[in-house]
Amino acid sequence: MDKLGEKIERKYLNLNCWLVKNLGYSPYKRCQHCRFKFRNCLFLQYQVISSILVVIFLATFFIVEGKITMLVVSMIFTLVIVYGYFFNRSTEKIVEANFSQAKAKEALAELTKNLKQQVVEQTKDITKKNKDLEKNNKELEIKNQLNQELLAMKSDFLRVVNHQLNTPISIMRGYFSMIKEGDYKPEKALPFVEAGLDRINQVVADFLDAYELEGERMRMKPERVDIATVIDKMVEEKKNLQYAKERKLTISAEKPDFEIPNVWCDIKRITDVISNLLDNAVFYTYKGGVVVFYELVGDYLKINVKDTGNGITEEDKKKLFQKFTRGTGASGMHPDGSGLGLYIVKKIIEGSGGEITFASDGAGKGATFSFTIPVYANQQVDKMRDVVTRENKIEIFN
Amino acid sequence: MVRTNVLQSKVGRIIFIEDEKALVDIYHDVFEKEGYDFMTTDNIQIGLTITEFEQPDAVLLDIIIPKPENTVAEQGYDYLKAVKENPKTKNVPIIVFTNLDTPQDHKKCREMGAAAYLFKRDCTPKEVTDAVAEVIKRDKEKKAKFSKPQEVV
Repeated sequence: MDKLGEKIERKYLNLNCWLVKNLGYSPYKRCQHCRFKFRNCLFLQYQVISSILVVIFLATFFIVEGKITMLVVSMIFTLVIVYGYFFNRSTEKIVEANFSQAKAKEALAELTKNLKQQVVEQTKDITKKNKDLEKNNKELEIKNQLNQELLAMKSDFLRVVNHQLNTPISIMRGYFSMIKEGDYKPEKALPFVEAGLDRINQVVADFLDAYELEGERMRMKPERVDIATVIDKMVEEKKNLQYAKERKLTISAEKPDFEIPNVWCDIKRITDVISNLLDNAVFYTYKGGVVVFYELVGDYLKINVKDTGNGITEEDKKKLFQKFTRGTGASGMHPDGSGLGLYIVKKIIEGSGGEITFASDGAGKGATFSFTIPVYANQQVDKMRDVVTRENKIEIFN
Repeated sequence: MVRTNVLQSKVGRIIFIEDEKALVDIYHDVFEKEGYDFMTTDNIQIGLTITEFEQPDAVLLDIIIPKPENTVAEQGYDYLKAVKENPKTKNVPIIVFTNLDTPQDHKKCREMGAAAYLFKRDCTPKEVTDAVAEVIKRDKEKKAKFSKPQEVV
Protein backbone atom coordinates (compact mmCIF):
# COMPACT_ATOMS: atom_id res chain seq x y z
CA MET A 1 0.00 0.00 0.00
CA ASP A 2 1.36 3.35 -0.85
CA LYS A 3 1.97 6.03 1.76
CA LEU A 4 -1.11 8.01 0.92
CA GLY A 5 -3.32 4.91 1.27
CA GLU A 6 -1.69 4.06 4.58
CA LYS A 7 -2.34 7.56 5.77
CA ILE A 8 -6.00 7.32 4.76
CA GLU A 9 -6.35 3.87 6.43
CA ARG A 10 -4.83 5.19 9.60
CA LYS A 11 -6.84 8.33 9.33
CA TYR A 12 -10.06 6.32 9.02
CA LEU A 13 -9.18 3.68 11.56
CA ASN A 14 -12.06 3.83 14.03
CA LEU A 15 -10.59 5.26 17.17
CA ASN A 16 -14.10 5.48 18.66
CA CYS A 17 -14.26 1.71 18.84
CA TRP A 18 -12.95 0.30 22.07
CA LEU A 19 -12.08 -3.02 20.41
CA VAL A 20 -10.22 -1.48 17.47
CA LYS A 21 -8.38 1.02 19.64
CA ASN A 22 -7.30 -1.30 22.43
CA LEU A 23 -7.03 -4.69 20.85
CA GLY A 24 -6.26 -3.79 17.23
CA TYR A 25 -9.44 -5.82 16.46
CA SER A 26 -10.42 -5.51 12.87
CA PRO A 27 -11.91 -8.82 11.65
CA TYR A 28 -14.38 -7.30 9.21
CA LYS A 29 -14.00 -4.98 6.26
CA ARG A 30 -16.75 -2.89 7.84
CA CYS A 31 -14.62 -2.12 10.85
CA GLN A 32 -12.26 -0.10 8.64
CA HIS A 33 -15.10 2.14 7.55
CA CYS A 34 -16.92 2.31 10.85
CA ARG A 35 -16.92 5.38 12.99
CA PHE A 36 -19.33 4.25 15.65
CA LYS A 37 -18.50 3.96 19.30
CA PHE A 38 -18.03 0.45 20.53
CA ARG A 39 -21.45 0.23 22.13
CA ASN A 40 -23.11 1.58 18.99
CA CYS A 41 -21.61 -1.16 16.86
CA LEU A 42 -24.54 -2.73 14.99
CA PHE A 43 -22.96 -6.17 14.86
CA LEU A 44 -22.23 -6.11 18.57
CA GLN A 45 -25.85 -5.17 19.25
CA TYR A 46 -26.97 -8.03 17.04
CA GLN A 47 -24.69 -10.48 18.85
CA VAL A 48 -25.77 -9.31 22.31
CA ILE A 49 -29.49 -9.37 21.44
CA SER A 50 -29.27 -12.76 19.68
CA SER A 51 -27.30 -14.34 22.60
CA ILE A 52 -29.95 -13.06 25.05
CA LEU A 53 -32.69 -14.41 22.74
CA VAL A 54 -30.91 -17.79 22.41
CA VAL A 55 -30.64 -18.05 26.20
CA ILE A 56 -34.33 -17.07 26.59
CA PHE A 57 -35.43 -19.55 23.88
CA LEU A 58 -33.45 -22.36 25.42
CA ALA A 59 -34.72 -21.55 28.92
CA THR A 60 -38.36 -21.37 27.68
CA PHE A 61 -37.94 -24.65 25.79
CA PHE A 62 -36.51 -26.33 28.88
CA ILE A 63 -39.37 -25.05 31.09
CA VAL A 64 -42.10 -26.08 28.56
CA GLU A 65 -40.68 -29.36 27.24
CA GLY A 66 -38.66 -30.42 30.27
CA LYS A 67 -35.54 -31.10 28.15
CA ILE A 68 -33.39 -29.61 25.37
CA THR A 69 -32.99 -31.64 22.25
CA MET A 70 -29.85 -31.37 20.07
CA LEU A 71 -32.08 -30.60 17.07
CA VAL A 72 -33.50 -27.46 18.68
CA VAL A 73 -30.05 -26.26 19.77
CA SER A 74 -28.56 -26.78 16.30
CA MET A 75 -31.57 -25.12 14.60
CA ILE A 76 -31.37 -22.03 16.78
CA PHE A 77 -27.61 -21.68 16.32
CA THR A 78 -27.91 -22.23 12.56
CA LEU A 79 -30.54 -19.47 12.40
CA VAL A 80 -28.40 -17.10 14.47
CA ILE A 81 -25.35 -17.77 12.28
CA VAL A 82 -27.20 -17.47 8.98
CA TYR A 83 -28.99 -14.25 10.03
CA GLY A 84 -25.66 -13.00 11.44
CA TYR A 85 -24.00 -13.52 8.07
CA PHE A 86 -26.64 -11.55 6.14
CA PHE A 87 -26.83 -8.91 8.82
CA ASN A 88 -23.09 -8.48 8.68
CA ARG A 89 -23.23 -8.11 4.90
CA SER A 90 -25.97 -5.50 4.98
CA THR A 91 -24.46 -3.41 7.79
CA GLU A 92 -21.17 -3.50 5.94
CA LYS A 93 -22.86 -1.73 3.04
CA ILE A 94 -24.51 0.83 5.31
CA VAL A 95 -21.27 1.62 7.08
CA GLU A 96 -19.40 1.84 3.81
CA ALA A 97 -22.01 4.20 2.37
CA ASN A 98 -21.87 6.33 5.49
CA PHE A 99 -18.12 6.39 5.28
CA SER A 100 -17.96 7.48 1.63
CA GLN A 101 -20.56 10.13 2.33
CA ALA A 102 -18.48 11.48 5.20
CA LYS A 103 -15.39 11.30 3.03
CA ALA A 104 -17.15 13.18 0.23
CA LYS A 105 -18.28 15.81 2.72
CA GLU A 106 -14.76 16.23 3.97
CA ALA A 107 -13.41 16.49 0.46
CA LEU A 108 -16.09 19.01 -0.36
CA ALA A 109 -15.24 21.01 2.76
CA GLU A 110 -11.59 20.97 1.79
CA LEU A 111 -12.41 21.93 -1.77
CA THR A 112 -14.54 24.83 -0.57
CA LYS A 113 -11.76 25.96 1.69
CA ASN A 114 -9.26 25.72 -1.17
CA LEU A 115 -11.63 27.50 -3.49
CA LYS A 116 -12.11 30.28 -1.00
CA GLN A 117 -8.38 30.62 -0.65
CA GLN A 118 -7.94 30.61 -4.40
CA VAL A 119 -10.62 33.22 -4.81
CA VAL A 120 -8.88 35.41 -2.23
CA GLU A 121 -5.59 34.92 -4.01
CA GLN A 122 -7.03 35.60 -7.42
CA THR A 123 -8.88 38.66 -6.22
CA LYS A 124 -5.68 39.80 -4.59
CA ASP A 125 -4.11 39.76 -8.01
CA ILE A 126 -7.09 41.50 -9.52
CA THR A 127 -7.19 44.07 -6.72
CA LYS A 128 -3.55 44.77 -7.28
CA LYS A 129 -4.08 45.06 -11.01
CA ASN A 130 -6.99 47.34 -10.36
CA LYS A 131 -4.87 49.56 -8.21
CA ASP A 132 -2.17 49.59 -10.85
CA LEU A 133 -4.73 50.49 -13.45
CA GLU A 134 -6.00 53.33 -11.31
CA LYS A 135 -2.46 54.56 -10.87
CA ASN A 136 -1.82 54.29 -14.60
CA ASN A 137 -5.01 56.14 -15.27
CA LYS A 138 -3.96 58.95 -12.99
CA GLU A 139 -0.56 59.10 -14.64
CA LEU A 140 -2.20 59.21 -18.03
CA GLU A 141 -4.46 61.98 -16.86
CA ILE A 142 -1.51 63.98 -15.65
CA LYS A 143 0.32 63.31 -18.89
CA ASN A 144 -2.70 64.34 -20.83
CA GLN A 145 -2.96 67.54 -18.87
CA LEU A 146 0.70 68.19 -19.41
CA ASN A 147 0.30 67.54 -23.10
CA GLN A 148 -2.53 69.99 -23.28
CA GLU A 149 -0.48 72.55 -21.40
CA LEU A 150 2.39 71.94 -23.78
CA LEU A 151 0.06 72.29 -26.73
CA ALA A 152 -1.25 75.54 -25.31
CA MET A 153 2.29 76.70 -24.73
CA LYS A 154 3.23 75.70 -28.24
CA SER A 155 0.42 77.70 -29.72
CA ASP A 156 1.35 80.65 -27.49
CA PHE A 157 4.90 80.26 -28.63
CA LEU A 158 3.91 80.16 -32.28
CA ARG A 159 1.73 83.24 -31.90
CA VAL A 160 4.48 85.15 -30.16
CA VAL A 161 7.10 84.06 -32.65
CA ASN A 162 4.75 84.86 -35.46
CA HIS A 163 4.15 88.35 -34.21
CA GLN A 164 7.55 89.12 -32.74
CA LEU A 165 9.57 88.00 -35.70
CA ASN A 166 7.18 88.83 -38.48
CA THR A 167 6.63 92.42 -37.45
CA PRO A 168 10.23 93.55 -37.83
CA ILE A 169 10.52 91.46 -40.98
CA SER A 170 7.51 93.15 -42.52
CA ILE A 171 8.87 96.58 -41.60
CA MET A 172 12.24 95.80 -43.14
CA ARG A 173 10.63 94.25 -46.20
CA GLY A 174 8.52 97.36 -46.61
CA TYR A 175 11.53 99.64 -46.63
CA PHE A 176 13.42 97.27 -48.85
CA SER A 177 10.74 97.18 -51.51
CA MET A 178 10.47 100.97 -51.39
CA ILE A 179 14.22 101.23 -51.99
CA LYS A 180 14.02 98.63 -54.74
CA GLU A 181 11.30 100.49 -56.50
CA GLY A 182 13.62 103.48 -56.50
CA ASP A 183 11.59 106.13 -54.73
CA TYR A 184 13.22 105.85 -51.30
CA LYS A 185 16.75 106.72 -50.22
CA PRO A 186 18.54 103.74 -48.65
CA GLU A 187 20.14 105.98 -46.03
CA LYS A 188 16.72 106.89 -44.68
CA ALA A 189 15.78 103.22 -44.27
CA LEU A 190 18.98 102.20 -42.51
CA PRO A 191 17.89 103.09 -38.94
CA PHE A 192 14.67 101.11 -39.38
CA VAL A 193 16.50 98.10 -40.73
CA GLU A 194 18.96 98.31 -37.86
CA ALA A 195 16.11 98.59 -35.33
CA GLY A 196 14.37 95.63 -36.96
CA LEU A 197 17.52 93.53 -36.76
CA ASP A 198 17.99 94.50 -33.12
CA ARG A 199 14.44 93.52 -32.39
CA ILE A 200 14.73 90.11 -34.02
CA ASN A 201 18.02 89.64 -32.24
CA GLN A 202 16.44 90.47 -28.90
CA VAL A 203 13.56 88.06 -29.46
CA VAL A 204 15.91 85.24 -30.39
CA ALA A 205 18.09 86.00 -27.36
CA ASP A 206 15.01 86.00 -25.12
CA PHE A 207 13.86 82.64 -26.43
CA LEU A 208 17.30 81.12 -26.08
CA ASP A 209 17.58 82.47 -22.53
CA ALA A 210 14.19 81.08 -21.64
CA TYR A 211 15.06 77.75 -23.20
CA GLU A 212 18.40 77.52 -21.40
CA LEU A 213 16.73 78.51 -18.13
CA GLU A 214 14.36 75.58 -18.32
CA GLY A 215 14.58 74.04 -14.90
CA GLU A 216 17.87 75.51 -13.83
CA ARG A 217 19.17 78.64 -12.26
CA MET A 218 20.74 81.24 -14.43
CA ARG A 219 24.50 81.38 -14.18
CA MET A 220 25.76 84.70 -12.86
CA LYS A 221 28.99 86.62 -12.90
CA PRO A 222 28.49 88.60 -9.70
CA GLU A 223 30.46 91.69 -8.78
CA ARG A 224 30.15 94.75 -6.55
CA VAL A 225 27.49 96.97 -8.08
CA ASP A 226 26.56 100.56 -7.27
CA ILE A 227 22.87 99.87 -7.71
CA ALA A 228 21.69 103.45 -7.06
CA THR A 229 23.65 104.73 -10.06
CA VAL A 230 22.36 101.92 -12.25
CA ILE A 231 18.76 102.68 -11.27
CA ASP A 232 19.13 106.45 -11.69
CA LYS A 233 20.52 105.85 -15.15
CA MET A 234 17.68 103.50 -16.09
CA VAL A 235 15.07 105.92 -14.73
CA GLU A 236 16.46 108.72 -16.91
CA GLU A 237 16.50 106.38 -19.91
CA LYS A 238 12.91 105.26 -19.42
CA LYS A 239 11.67 108.84 -19.38
CA ASN A 240 12.34 108.79 -23.11
CA LEU A 241 10.02 105.86 -23.77
CA GLN A 242 7.29 106.67 -26.25
CA TYR A 243 4.52 105.67 -23.83
CA ALA A 244 6.03 107.68 -20.98
CA LYS A 245 6.08 110.78 -23.15
CA GLU A 246 2.64 110.27 -24.68
CA ARG A 247 0.97 109.70 -21.35
CA LYS A 248 3.06 112.30 -19.51
CA LEU A 249 4.09 109.77 -16.86
CA THR A 250 6.40 110.77 -14.02
CA ILE A 251 9.26 108.34 -13.47
CA SER A 252 11.50 108.81 -10.46
CA ALA A 253 13.65 107.11 -7.84
CA GLU A 254 12.99 108.09 -4.23
CA LYS A 255 15.99 108.89 -2.04
CA PRO A 256 15.75 106.79 1.14
CA ASP A 257 16.77 108.11 4.60
CA PHE A 258 19.71 105.68 4.62
CA GLU A 259 22.69 105.51 2.35
CA ILE A 260 22.04 103.05 -0.47
CA PRO A 261 24.59 100.25 -0.11
CA ASN A 262 26.39 98.52 -2.94
CA VAL A 263 25.02 95.12 -3.84
CA TRP A 264 26.48 91.81 -5.03
CA CYS A 265 25.12 90.70 -8.39
CA ASP A 266 25.70 90.45 -12.14
CA ILE A 267 25.48 94.05 -13.33
CA LYS A 268 24.36 93.18 -16.84
CA ARG A 269 21.60 90.90 -15.62
CA ILE A 270 20.40 93.26 -12.88
CA THR A 271 20.23 96.04 -15.43
CA ASP A 272 17.99 93.78 -17.51
CA VAL A 273 15.78 93.20 -14.47
CA ILE A 274 15.37 96.90 -13.64
CA SER A 275 14.84 97.77 -17.27
CA ASN A 276 12.22 95.08 -17.62
CA LEU A 277 10.31 96.06 -14.47
CA LEU A 278 10.36 99.74 -15.46
CA ASP A 279 9.23 98.88 -18.98
CA ASN A 280 6.38 96.82 -17.61
CA ALA A 281 5.36 99.56 -15.19
CA VAL A 282 5.35 102.14 -17.96
CA PHE A 283 3.50 99.96 -20.45
CA TYR A 284 0.71 99.10 -18.06
CA THR A 285 0.22 102.63 -16.71
CA TYR A 286 -2.10 105.12 -18.43
CA LYS A 287 -1.67 108.06 -16.10
CA GLY A 288 0.22 108.91 -12.96
CA GLY A 289 3.70 107.49 -12.79
CA VAL A 290 6.29 105.02 -11.68
CA VAL A 291 8.41 105.37 -8.58
CA VAL A 292 11.36 103.29 -7.40
CA PHE A 293 11.99 103.17 -3.67
CA TYR A 294 14.41 101.29 -1.43
CA GLU A 295 14.19 99.37 1.84
CA LEU A 296 16.78 97.53 3.90
CA VAL A 297 15.80 94.00 4.95
CA GLY A 298 18.58 92.38 6.96
CA ASP A 299 21.49 91.67 4.65
CA TYR A 300 19.39 92.45 1.62
CA LEU A 301 18.46 95.60 -0.21
CA LYS A 302 14.85 95.58 -1.30
CA ILE A 303 14.06 97.52 -4.45
CA ASN A 304 10.41 98.33 -5.16
CA VAL A 305 8.96 99.50 -8.46
CA LYS A 306 5.54 101.00 -7.84
CA ASP A 307 3.16 102.20 -10.53
CA THR A 308 -0.33 103.64 -10.73
CA GLY A 309 -1.34 101.47 -13.65
CA ASN A 310 -3.63 98.60 -14.53
CA GLY A 311 -2.85 96.58 -11.46
CA ILE A 312 -2.94 92.82 -11.50
CA THR A 313 -6.16 90.81 -11.62
CA GLU A 314 -6.51 87.73 -9.41
CA GLU A 315 -6.35 85.58 -12.51
CA ASP A 316 -3.11 87.15 -13.72
CA LYS A 317 -1.50 86.80 -10.29
CA LYS A 318 -1.40 83.02 -10.61
CA LYS A 319 0.48 82.92 -13.87
CA LEU A 320 2.53 86.06 -13.55
CA PHE A 321 5.96 84.49 -13.67
CA GLN A 322 5.19 81.80 -16.22
CA LYS A 323 6.46 81.73 -19.72
CA PHE A 324 4.48 83.39 -22.50
CA THR A 325 1.95 85.01 -20.20
CA ARG A 326 0.82 88.55 -20.66
CA GLY A 327 -1.26 90.84 -18.54
CA THR A 328 -4.99 91.09 -19.22
CA GLY A 329 -5.49 93.47 -22.12
CA ALA A 330 -1.76 93.66 -22.71
CA SER A 331 -1.84 93.05 -26.44
CA GLY A 332 -3.93 96.18 -26.93
CA MET A 333 -1.48 98.36 -25.08
CA HIS A 334 1.87 96.86 -25.78
CA PRO A 335 1.68 94.40 -28.61
CA ASP A 336 5.41 93.66 -28.73
CA GLY A 337 5.91 91.80 -25.45
CA SER A 338 7.23 88.28 -25.79
CA GLY A 339 5.63 87.25 -22.49
CA LEU A 340 9.03 86.09 -21.34
CA GLY A 341 10.18 89.18 -19.45
CA LEU A 342 8.98 88.37 -15.93
CA TYR A 343 9.91 84.72 -16.33
CA ILE A 344 13.51 85.68 -17.06
CA VAL A 345 13.47 88.38 -14.36
CA LYS A 346 12.45 85.83 -11.75
CA LYS A 347 15.21 83.46 -12.85
CA ILE A 348 17.80 86.24 -12.65
CA ILE A 349 16.71 87.32 -9.16
CA GLU A 350 16.67 83.73 -7.91
CA GLY A 351 20.07 83.14 -9.47
CA SER A 352 21.39 86.19 -7.61
CA GLY A 353 20.19 84.81 -4.28
CA GLY A 354 17.25 87.20 -3.98
CA GLU A 355 13.52 86.95 -4.10
CA ILE A 356 10.87 88.67 -6.21
CA THR A 357 7.38 89.51 -4.98
CA PHE A 358 4.53 91.66 -6.12
CA ALA A 359 1.54 93.36 -4.58
CA SER A 360 -1.59 94.81 -6.12
CA ASP A 361 -4.95 95.76 -4.74
CA GLY A 362 -6.55 94.48 -7.93
CA ALA A 363 -7.42 95.68 -11.39
CA GLY A 364 -6.94 99.41 -11.94
CA LYS A 365 -5.25 100.02 -8.59
CA GLY A 366 -1.59 99.92 -9.54
CA ALA A 367 1.05 97.34 -8.77
CA THR A 368 4.32 97.10 -6.89
CA PHE A 369 7.07 94.69 -7.90
CA SER A 370 9.76 94.19 -5.28
CA PHE A 371 12.96 92.22 -5.34
CA THR A 372 15.75 91.68 -2.85
CA ILE A 373 19.41 91.53 -3.67
CA PRO A 374 22.30 90.73 -1.29
CA VAL A 375 24.16 93.79 0.07
CA TYR A 376 27.86 93.78 -0.82
CA ALA A 377 29.84 92.48 2.15
CA ASN A 378 33.19 91.38 0.73
CA GLN A 379 31.73 88.43 -1.11
CA GLN A 380 34.29 86.69 -3.29
CA VAL A 381 33.71 85.38 -6.74
CA ASP A 382 32.93 81.71 -6.49
CA LYS A 383 35.36 80.14 -8.93
CA MET A 384 33.09 77.20 -9.54
CA ARG A 385 30.18 79.34 -10.54
CA ASP A 386 32.20 81.81 -12.54
CA VAL A 387 31.23 80.29 -15.84
CA VAL A 388 31.21 82.28 -19.03
CA THR A 389 27.57 82.65 -19.98
CA ARG A 390 28.09 83.41 -23.63
CA GLU A 391 30.96 82.38 -25.88
CA ASN A 392 32.88 84.92 -27.93
CA LYS A 393 31.51 85.34 -31.40
CA ILE A 394 34.98 84.89 -32.88
CA GLU A 395 37.38 82.45 -31.32
CA ILE A 396 40.65 81.45 -32.95
CA PHE A 397 42.03 78.34 -31.28
CA ASN A 398 45.74 77.96 -30.36
CA MET B 1 51.22 67.66 -52.14
CA VAL B 2 50.19 67.99 -55.75
CA ARG B 3 47.22 70.20 -56.20
CA THR B 4 44.99 71.22 -59.05
CA ASN B 5 45.17 74.79 -60.23
CA VAL B 6 41.63 75.98 -59.89
CA LEU B 7 42.43 78.15 -56.89
CA GLN B 8 45.47 80.30 -57.54
CA SER B 9 45.25 83.54 -55.63
CA LYS B 10 48.28 84.59 -53.61
CA VAL B 11 46.05 86.35 -51.05
CA GLY B 12 44.30 83.18 -50.07
CA ARG B 13 42.38 80.20 -51.41
CA ILE B 14 39.12 79.50 -49.63
CA ILE B 15 36.60 76.68 -49.76
CA PHE B 16 33.20 77.55 -48.28
CA ILE B 17 30.98 74.61 -47.32
CA GLU B 18 27.50 76.05 -46.91
CA ASP B 19 23.97 75.25 -48.05
CA GLU B 20 22.46 78.72 -47.75
CA LYS B 21 22.68 80.28 -51.21
CA ALA B 22 22.26 83.88 -50.00
CA LEU B 23 25.18 83.56 -47.59
CA VAL B 24 27.33 81.94 -50.26
CA ASP B 25 26.58 84.86 -52.60
CA ILE B 26 27.44 87.47 -49.97
CA TYR B 27 30.73 85.84 -49.02
CA HIS B 28 31.63 85.06 -52.61
CA ASP B 29 31.47 88.80 -53.34
CA VAL B 30 33.24 89.76 -50.12
CA PHE B 31 36.14 87.35 -50.54
CA GLU B 32 36.66 88.04 -54.25
CA LYS B 33 36.72 91.76 -53.51
CA GLU B 34 39.52 91.10 -51.00
CA GLY B 35 41.43 89.14 -53.65
CA TYR B 36 40.76 85.60 -52.47
CA ASP B 37 39.94 82.68 -54.75
CA PHE B 38 36.71 81.12 -53.67
CA MET B 39 35.06 77.75 -54.15
CA THR B 40 31.85 76.48 -52.62
CA THR B 41 29.70 73.39 -52.21
CA ASP B 42 26.85 72.16 -50.07
CA ASN B 43 27.84 68.52 -50.49
CA ILE B 44 30.09 67.01 -47.87
CA GLN B 45 31.62 64.36 -50.18
CA ILE B 46 32.45 66.91 -52.86
CA GLY B 47 33.79 69.15 -50.13
CA LEU B 48 36.16 66.42 -48.96
CA THR B 49 37.33 65.72 -52.50
CA ILE B 50 38.07 69.32 -53.40
CA THR B 51 39.72 69.90 -50.04
CA GLU B 52 42.09 67.06 -50.83
CA PHE B 53 42.81 68.16 -54.43
CA GLU B 54 42.95 71.91 -53.92
CA GLN B 55 44.74 72.00 -50.57
CA PRO B 56 43.13 75.37 -49.74
CA ASP B 57 44.58 77.89 -47.31
CA ALA B 58 41.42 77.62 -45.21
CA VAL B 59 37.97 76.04 -45.21
CA LEU B 60 34.92 77.89 -43.91
CA LEU B 61 32.59 75.20 -42.59
CA ASP B 62 28.92 75.42 -41.73
CA ILE B 63 27.78 72.78 -39.24
CA ILE B 64 24.09 72.33 -39.91
CA ILE B 65 23.85 71.14 -43.50
CA PRO B 66 20.69 69.25 -44.45
CA LYS B 67 21.14 65.92 -46.21
CA PRO B 68 19.97 65.52 -49.82
CA GLU B 69 16.66 64.02 -48.63
CA ASN B 70 16.22 67.24 -46.66
CA THR B 71 16.63 65.93 -43.14
CA VAL B 72 18.31 68.34 -40.75
CA ALA B 73 21.76 67.05 -39.92
CA GLU B 74 24.98 68.32 -38.42
CA GLN B 75 27.00 67.16 -41.41
CA GLY B 76 29.67 69.75 -40.70
CA TYR B 77 30.95 67.55 -37.89
CA ASP B 78 31.19 64.57 -40.27
CA TYR B 79 33.25 66.67 -42.66
CA LEU B 80 35.51 67.96 -39.88
CA LYS B 81 36.10 64.42 -38.62
CA ALA B 82 36.84 63.06 -42.10
CA VAL B 83 39.22 65.91 -42.95
CA LYS B 84 41.18 65.46 -39.73
CA GLU B 85 41.38 61.69 -40.22
CA ASN B 86 42.79 61.98 -43.73
CA PRO B 87 46.59 62.49 -43.57
CA LYS B 88 46.44 64.46 -46.84
CA THR B 89 44.06 67.05 -45.46
CA LYS B 90 44.61 67.06 -41.73
CA ASN B 91 46.82 70.19 -41.88
CA VAL B 92 44.21 72.30 -43.69
CA PRO B 93 42.87 74.85 -41.19
CA ILE B 94 39.11 74.50 -40.76
CA ILE B 95 37.18 77.57 -39.62
CA VAL B 96 33.80 76.62 -38.22
CA PHE B 97 31.23 79.21 -39.26
CA THR B 98 27.88 78.42 -37.69
CA ASN B 99 24.79 79.73 -35.97
CA LEU B 100 25.30 77.33 -33.07
CA ASP B 101 26.88 79.06 -30.11
CA THR B 102 26.70 76.75 -27.14
CA PRO B 103 29.86 76.14 -25.08
CA GLN B 104 29.48 72.44 -25.97
CA ASP B 105 29.79 73.20 -29.68
CA HIS B 106 32.82 75.40 -29.06
CA LYS B 107 34.46 72.65 -27.04
CA LYS B 108 33.61 69.97 -29.57
CA CYS B 109 35.06 71.95 -32.46
CA ARG B 110 38.22 72.73 -30.52
CA GLU B 111 38.67 69.07 -29.64
CA MET B 112 38.04 67.95 -33.20
CA GLY B 113 40.87 70.14 -34.38
CA ALA B 114 39.12 73.17 -35.85
CA ALA B 115 41.32 76.25 -36.25
CA ALA B 116 38.68 78.81 -35.28
CA TYR B 117 35.03 79.21 -34.39
CA LEU B 118 32.89 82.05 -35.76
CA PHE B 119 29.33 82.68 -34.63
CA LYS B 120 27.54 83.46 -37.86
CA ARG B 121 24.74 85.64 -36.51
CA ASP B 122 26.92 88.25 -34.86
CA CYS B 123 29.76 88.41 -37.39
CA THR B 124 29.86 91.04 -40.10
CA PRO B 125 31.57 90.10 -43.40
CA LYS B 126 34.49 92.33 -42.44
CA GLU B 127 34.99 90.44 -39.20
CA VAL B 128 34.82 87.13 -41.05
CA THR B 129 37.47 88.10 -43.62
CA ASP B 130 39.69 89.47 -40.85
CA ALA B 131 39.37 86.25 -38.88
CA VAL B 132 40.10 84.16 -41.99
CA ALA B 133 43.17 86.30 -42.76
CA GLU B 134 44.37 85.86 -39.18
CA VAL B 135 43.94 82.08 -39.33
CA ILE B 136 45.80 81.85 -42.66
CA LYS B 137 48.60 84.04 -41.30
CA ARG B 138 49.03 81.93 -38.16
CA ASP B 139 48.86 78.74 -40.19
CA LYS B 140 51.58 79.89 -42.59
CA GLU B 141 53.83 80.93 -39.69
CA LYS B 142 53.33 77.55 -38.09
CA LYS B 143 54.07 75.64 -41.29
CA ALA B 144 57.15 77.81 -42.00
CA LYS B 145 58.49 76.96 -38.56
CA PHE B 146 58.12 73.25 -39.22
CA SER B 147 59.52 73.25 -42.76
CA LYS B 148 62.68 75.30 -42.11
CA PRO B 149 64.71 72.55 -40.41
CA GLN B 150 63.93 70.27 -43.35
CA GLU B 151 65.43 72.79 -45.79
CA VAL B 152 68.68 72.77 -43.80
CA VAL B 153 68.88 69.00 -44.14
